[in-house]
Amino acid sequence: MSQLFSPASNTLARATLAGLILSPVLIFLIGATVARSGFVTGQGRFVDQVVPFSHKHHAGELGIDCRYCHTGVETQADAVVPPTHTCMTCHSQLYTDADMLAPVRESLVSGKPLVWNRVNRLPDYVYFDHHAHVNNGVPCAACHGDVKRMPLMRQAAPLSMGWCVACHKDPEDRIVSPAREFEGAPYVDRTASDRAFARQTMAAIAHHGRHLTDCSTCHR
Amino acid sequence: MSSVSATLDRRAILRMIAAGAAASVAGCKAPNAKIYPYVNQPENALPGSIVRYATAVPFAGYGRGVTGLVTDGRPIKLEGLAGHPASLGATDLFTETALLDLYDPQRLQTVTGPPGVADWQSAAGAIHARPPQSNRLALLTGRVTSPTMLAMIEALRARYPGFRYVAWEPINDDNALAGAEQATGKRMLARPRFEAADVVVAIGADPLGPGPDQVALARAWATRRRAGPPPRLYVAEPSLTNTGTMADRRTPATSADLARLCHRLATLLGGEGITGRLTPPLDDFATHAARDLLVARGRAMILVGPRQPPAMHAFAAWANARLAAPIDWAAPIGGDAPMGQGLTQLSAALHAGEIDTLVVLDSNPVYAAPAELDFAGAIKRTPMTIAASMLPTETSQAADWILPLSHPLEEWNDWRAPDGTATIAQPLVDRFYDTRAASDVLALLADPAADADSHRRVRQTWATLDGKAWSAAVASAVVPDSAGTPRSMPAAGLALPTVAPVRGLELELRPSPTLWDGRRASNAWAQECPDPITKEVWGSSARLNGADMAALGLKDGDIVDLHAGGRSIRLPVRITAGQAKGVVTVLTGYGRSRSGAVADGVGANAWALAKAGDIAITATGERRPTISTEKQFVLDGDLAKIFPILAPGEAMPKPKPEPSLLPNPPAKGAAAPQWAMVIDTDVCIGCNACVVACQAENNVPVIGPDEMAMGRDMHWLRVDRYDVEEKDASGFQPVPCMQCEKAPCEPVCPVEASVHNSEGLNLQVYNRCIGTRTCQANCPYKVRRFNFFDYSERSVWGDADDASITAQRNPDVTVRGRGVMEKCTYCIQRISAAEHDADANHTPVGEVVTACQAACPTQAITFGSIADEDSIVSAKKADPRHYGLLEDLGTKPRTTYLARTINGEDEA
Repeated sequence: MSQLFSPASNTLARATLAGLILSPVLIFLIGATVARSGFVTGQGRFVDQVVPFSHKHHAGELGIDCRYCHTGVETQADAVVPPTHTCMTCHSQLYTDADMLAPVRESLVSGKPLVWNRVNRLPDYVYFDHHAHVNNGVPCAACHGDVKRMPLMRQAAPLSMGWCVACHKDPEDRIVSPAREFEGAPYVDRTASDRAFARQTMAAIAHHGRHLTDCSTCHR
Repeated sequence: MSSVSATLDRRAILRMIAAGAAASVAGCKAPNAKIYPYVNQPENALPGSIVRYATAVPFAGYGRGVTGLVTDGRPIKLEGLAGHPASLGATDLFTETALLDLYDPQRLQTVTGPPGVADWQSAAGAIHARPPQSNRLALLTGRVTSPTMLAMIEALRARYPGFRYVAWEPINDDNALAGAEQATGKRMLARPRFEAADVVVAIGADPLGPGPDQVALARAWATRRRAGPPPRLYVAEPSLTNTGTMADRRTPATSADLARLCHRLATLLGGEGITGRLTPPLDDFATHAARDLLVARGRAMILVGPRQPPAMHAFAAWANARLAAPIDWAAPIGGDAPMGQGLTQLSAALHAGEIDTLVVLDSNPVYAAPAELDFAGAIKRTPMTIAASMLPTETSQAADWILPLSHPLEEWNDWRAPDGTATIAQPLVDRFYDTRAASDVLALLADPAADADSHRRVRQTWATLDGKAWSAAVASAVVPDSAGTPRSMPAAGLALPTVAPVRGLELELRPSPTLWDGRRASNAWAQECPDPITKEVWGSSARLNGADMAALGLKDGDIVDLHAGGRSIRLPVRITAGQAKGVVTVLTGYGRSRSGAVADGVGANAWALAKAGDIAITATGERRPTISTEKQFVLDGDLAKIFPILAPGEAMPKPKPEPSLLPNPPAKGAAAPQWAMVIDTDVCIGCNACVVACQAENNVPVIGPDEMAMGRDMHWLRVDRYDVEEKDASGFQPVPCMQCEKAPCEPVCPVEASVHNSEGLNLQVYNRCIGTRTCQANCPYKVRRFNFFDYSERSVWGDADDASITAQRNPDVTVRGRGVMEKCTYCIQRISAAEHDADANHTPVGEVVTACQAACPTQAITFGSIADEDSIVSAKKADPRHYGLLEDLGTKPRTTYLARTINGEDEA
């Protein structure tokens, strides 16, 4: 009768035992990594648009203010995607026959809106308010990244609940002075006035008893 | 009747499996992946934000100012308009439900004629194919108060001399006008000034109940009730109404009793009534009422309901003149012709073949006309009938041409309020379908080439207003100083009603508080809104006194045939509190047919018995109780804690502070607002405006009769009704979420979906909820609602495509899915909006008004922060009448109540 177990059996048994212990940990780690990766959150994702609008060109190189198009950002919850007419304030004069802009001209003629694909997507049960953030020193870049260097709009942040709550727990380092809110990279070289405004905002939050981690801050 | 509950067969299961498989694939796509900006954004537009516009909606022909909340061009809620005398900033049930009609999938969407689907041009062509002969053309409308429409009808008279015009409402003022004429020779309507009335004796009248002037009357009554000295309300009525529930002293009475009561009061007030014998309770009632009336001369009045006979109105006119009652008199707006007589004559002319073309404009005589007129037969006899309405009705289905009317919010309109104030109503949204305004239809009668331009027509009517005045009138929806001036009434002679001999049972027909004469029967919000008294939904029972039921050998829910005048209707019966012995009460508005999935087959048409006298009941042996949201039962001992009754000036006993190991941070003086609500049960008239306001604001779905029958009511706010027999009192108690500081629902949630926030709100985090329903079981107030099916995705509108309903939804409130617990959070979307605005503008949090609070005609609901000791809600919490519901449980509710008071007899 031959040997039942070959010499390799010991190694195999040890490896199996180790694997039994390690694999749940590994599965958990891999799962957690994937869940936080751009693959799931969409961070870093570029989205094709019907008109390949470049924020880098318009906001960065030409220096058009964010609020020229996103008119609601200081006055209401919705930042507002600009109407076709806003595009045509310039493009009725410039690049009037560019192929790239054909959908814009078509929209103006037909009266049908340009349809944009959403880049920064929040679930239906999350209620984000732009003006409450922008008027309190949270710069555009905090969520949207350095838009002035994006040729095509990209999702800069994971926009996961953990990411939102991290800032809501301690917003001080994320707050800049109102003068720098619309800069591309306001967190590089924080100034003394940034820090002063951040302290002032934190004091106001405490004074009004605003509890930014209440569920009702974002969910209703 | 329609249902959202599926009955499963093999095919249905296969369909669902296929749909499920498809949904699991499609479900992976995020729903909000596209952005549609404007092409040309209007100046000052706020995409995604809620903008408020003043406009108006009609009810029973009268205009009522509203504030339309519009987001991205969609009206999503109607609120009151403070500057309008019929709204005073509040709404009623009919105003709230009017919004759903705009999005109703059952709406008529196209002109239909004998050849089938047609257009407006061919309809105009058909009308004018044979030029209508002047005296062979007839027009039937509802009550018309619109200056534009009245002018156009006058123009039609000029164009077609001899043309017949009848304005008819099934619920009208014929008896009141005839009574005033009998007493004084003038056809006028009494307009009580409750704010100046110490003593009100209501005889078969329900001034606080549903009706065109409910808000104004209820507000005046509540104002007077809050001020001292305590007023007294006497009510004698055949069946319990909202007014009867709020009475300080009430007695059930048959029509003969009411007539005898008038005689006795006449004698006691110094006139001469016949001195018959009254039952002891009625005798006592009359003696006390007369005494109080005489003591409060100049501040006392007698009110008689519109359904009571003319002679009773004549008696009231005499008595009120004698009492120098605070009553204004006004001529009815839009003419004082007797409506019932007008319809009878029109019907006779139709049957006699004297009319070639009948135009029915937004009226439903086939359903609501007295059965002996046989209006359906009259239409059949008429060569051409044209019916214009917004929703399919019995009349439109019988007509040759069906013209679809626009919803009032889609057109320019003008109306007058019951006090005569003119309102100019701007549209809030473009027409959804190929519809026209009622004024456009009138124009079409005069001229086949008439356009659909309601703006031009209304502007023409108000040409006297210059540009600036017009803009101001449109922006405020009120034409300044347009109210009628009250007329004086000549001295009235004493007239008294005859006392009919008592035979068997008598019938009382009452307008449904939710459907009125049937015009809201297609409205799913109205059908699902509980009746204030019986809490019945999706139908209504015949109401009887318990003794009568026992005598007839009937039990609650037995189906009976009610026979009168050779006709009969079939209804379940119900023992109802406060019902007079010998009276069967049936609500109108039910039993619609051919009117869409919501209205059809719900209840029975009481108008069939309209003009019949006595009534006979035969049992059918079947049993099917009408669905009710609340079982009625006797509370053992707890009633005084749940619904205490106080005498005027009496205070609630101070609750003993219960020991608690739980930390209890002080709400007073906290940095963040601490939200709380106080509801004054002493002025809550149970009108249900808050219930539907909450439904509209918070995307509360309609679930249909089958689900309601299972007890799965989804209304976040309910109104309980209590009878306290020891104190001979009753009242209403609205119950939203109590927002307990020590909420029993919170510790039992396994996923912390039920949590508190720092502002004292008991939150429900829908996206966390896994639907164990433990919180619901643990809630002592039973205010949590579970979404058993995906109710928002299911339709009660039958086969109609119900996608239009989604346009009504509030974008600031989560549309809850299946398996999620939901409840009131004090309109947290409104709180958040106010707080975000405060954050952004660095200002204190402004006033937050919840949807129920905004709707309340009597301002019974107060909301605000108790952290601020100067707030109104803090003041209400310090009121001597203040108490918390089931306070001894230690839940520390943030929603609390002010106790009901009864100004009973002072035994001196």
